[in-house]
Amino acid sequence: MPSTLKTNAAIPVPAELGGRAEDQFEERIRAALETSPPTVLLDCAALQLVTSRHIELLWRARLRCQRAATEVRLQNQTPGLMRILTILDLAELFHCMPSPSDAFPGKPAIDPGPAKANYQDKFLPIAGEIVSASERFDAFLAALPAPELTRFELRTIFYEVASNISQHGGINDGIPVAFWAEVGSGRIMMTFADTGREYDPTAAEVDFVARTAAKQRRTRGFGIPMVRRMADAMSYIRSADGRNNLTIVKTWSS
Amino acid sequence: MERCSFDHRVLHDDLLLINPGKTLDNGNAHEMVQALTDAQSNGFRFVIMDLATLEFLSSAGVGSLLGSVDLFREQGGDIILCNVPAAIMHILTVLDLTEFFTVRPNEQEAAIACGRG
Repeated sequence: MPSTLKTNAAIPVPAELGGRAEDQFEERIRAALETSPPTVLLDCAALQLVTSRHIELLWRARLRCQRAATEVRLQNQTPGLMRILTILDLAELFHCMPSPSDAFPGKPAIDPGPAKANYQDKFLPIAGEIVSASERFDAFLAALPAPELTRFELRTIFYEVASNISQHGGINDGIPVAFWAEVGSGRIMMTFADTGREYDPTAAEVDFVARTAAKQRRTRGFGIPMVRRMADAMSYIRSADGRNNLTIVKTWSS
Repeated sequence: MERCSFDHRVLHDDLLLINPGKTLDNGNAHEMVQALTDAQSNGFRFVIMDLATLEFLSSAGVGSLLGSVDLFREQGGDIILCNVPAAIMHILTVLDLTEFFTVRPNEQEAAIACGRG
C-alpha cells in the first residue's frame, strides 16, 4: 500500500543567484526529498542566462536526489540551458520533460525516455498491442532480480495502466504510448507518457470496497485502485505539450 | 450452456463448474459475465470457478466475477473459487476479496460448500 501518492510540484531554479536564493532552492529540494517522491522536478523557465554557478546548482541537486534514490527531471528547460548542458556533455544525465517549444502536432511524439532507461517501448493504446507490449515487458521482467510476486504485480500494473489509457484516454491520433522503466537496487521506476485527455490517477478519490461494488453489480473500474494498492509511489504531471506522464515506483527487498 | 466459450461441466442439477483457462482479462471478461448470466438463466444456483490454470487476472476479470456473485447469493447460491494459484490469490488479497469470495482449496471442498459431495 503506498504511503504517499503525490503530484509533484516543480521547484523553480533561481535565475538570480547569491544572497539566500541558492540556500532557499536547496532547502526546497531537501523538503521535497523528505516526502520520498519518485521524482523531483526542477523548473528551469527562468534560466535565460546560464552561468557555471547555475550548472553547479543543478549538479548538486542531482547528486542530492541521487543519494536519496530519487530521479531529478528538468522542466521548461530553455534552449540556452540545453546548449550549455550539451557542450558540457551533461545533457544525458538530466532527464528532461518534453519541452513546450516542441511542435507537438505532426511531430513524432514518442518520448524515448531518459538515456539511462533499462527498458523502453511504445505501443498503440489498442487491445492487441497492449497484450503484445505486456508480453514484451514480461520477458524483461523475467530477468529482474525481484521476487516472483513482485514481477507479477509489475506486469499487472503495466497491463492495468495501459488498458486504462486505452479505455479512457480518448486517443485516436495514432500516436503511441511511450513507456520506459529504470531499474535500481531493489527498485523499479516505470513511466507512461500518452497524449490522452488529462487524467491524474493519483489525485482521483478512487478506491474499492468489495461489498459495495458487488451490491452495485459493478464489473469495471477496479484497475486504478489495483494499481494504487500495488505501487509504492506514484506521481503524475501533465506536460506543457499536453501529455500525461504517470510514474510508478515499486520496491522490493533484495 | 451452448454459448459458454469456457471449459465447463455440469456437476449436479444446479451446480456448474467453469474453468476460465489461462487468462481472464479485458479480452474475455465480458464472455465470463455472459457465461455466468447464462448459468443462472439455465437454473444453476452454484458455479464452481476452477482457477487451477489461471495465470493472469486483470481488474476486468475480477469485475466479471464480482459483478455476478450477488446474483447467485440472492437465489441461495454462490460462486465458489477453487484451486486458486498463489499469484491470483495475491490479486484477491490486494483487493480485499479473500473474505468476500467463497474460496476453497479444491473442487471437492468447493462442492461440499455447495451442499454436495
